[in-house]
Amino acid sequence: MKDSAKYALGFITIGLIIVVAVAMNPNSGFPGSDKLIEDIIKLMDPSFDGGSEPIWTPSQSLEAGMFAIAALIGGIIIGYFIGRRGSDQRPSNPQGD
Amino acid sequence: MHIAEGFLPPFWCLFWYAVSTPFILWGAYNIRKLSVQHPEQKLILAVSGAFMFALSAIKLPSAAGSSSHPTGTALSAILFGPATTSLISTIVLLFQALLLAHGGLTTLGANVFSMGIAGPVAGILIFKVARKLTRRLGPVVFITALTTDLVTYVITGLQLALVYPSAGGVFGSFLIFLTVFAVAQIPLAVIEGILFTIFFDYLKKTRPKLLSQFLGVQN
Repeated sequence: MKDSAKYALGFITIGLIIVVAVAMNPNSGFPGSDKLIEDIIKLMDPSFDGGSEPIWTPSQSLEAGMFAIAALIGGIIIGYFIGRRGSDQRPSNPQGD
Repeated sequence: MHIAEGFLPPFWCLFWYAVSTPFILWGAYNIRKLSVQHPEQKLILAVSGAFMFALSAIKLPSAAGSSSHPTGTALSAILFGPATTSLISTIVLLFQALLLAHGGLTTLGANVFSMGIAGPVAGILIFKVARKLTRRLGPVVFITALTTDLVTYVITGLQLALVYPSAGGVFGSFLIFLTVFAVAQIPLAVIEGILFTIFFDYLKKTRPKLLSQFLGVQN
């Protein structure tokens, strides 16, 4: 099988895993597992006051935006690397590139 | 790996900071050394960090009905080791704690330990064992990435269980937290396995010299 076909199959599998997750839980809001743990802890210890608060809490949409920016920045760096002709395909620069 | 602000009492905050700090400092030293002795590796280091930065920011739904974050640490763990990975995790988790209210500053030491140290160390151990069993890079990377992801969350469960023992003690709490964390994480760990297997194969095919620099003689 060609490499690109193998990679595509891999990404499709990833997509399927996500789709199956959503399909198996049609009514779920998919709470974060860390939030669930916090709820469990609060149940276990009702006197827990939550300790300190984060310095700044963004709103829902701002938080989603920040996550997207993080993914974007990471994606750009990875994309740059993939797009760049590697040093294996170029004579090496003695000063390091 | 995202223990929220205030969920660890001062003793444990300091404890995990104390455990993580030597690794972070060692990682800083490694990166300094790299930029002097192997500047050509700066790009792949940035890419390793980018995987961590991007993947740990993405929230994925899990078949368990909850959602969670992948860790993205497998590339950095395999290529650069736990010290460097812990330093990059610190930057990533700091960003998330300050700008996303995810994780925390008091819990940063603990979160760096689970994401940047424990997961990678377990992954590297599995990597070394797997390499002895097969020369095929695919399965080796898959199981390594799976392990770094899962162990990160197992350790997070342990860190919390130590603070919040239930009627069943620390172990009882640990089991409860595992059923939430580990079960949710399994599909995500598989996703990480697939993703890094693809990326390592791509690396082997397009930059074989780079990979052999890190991994020794390739098959």
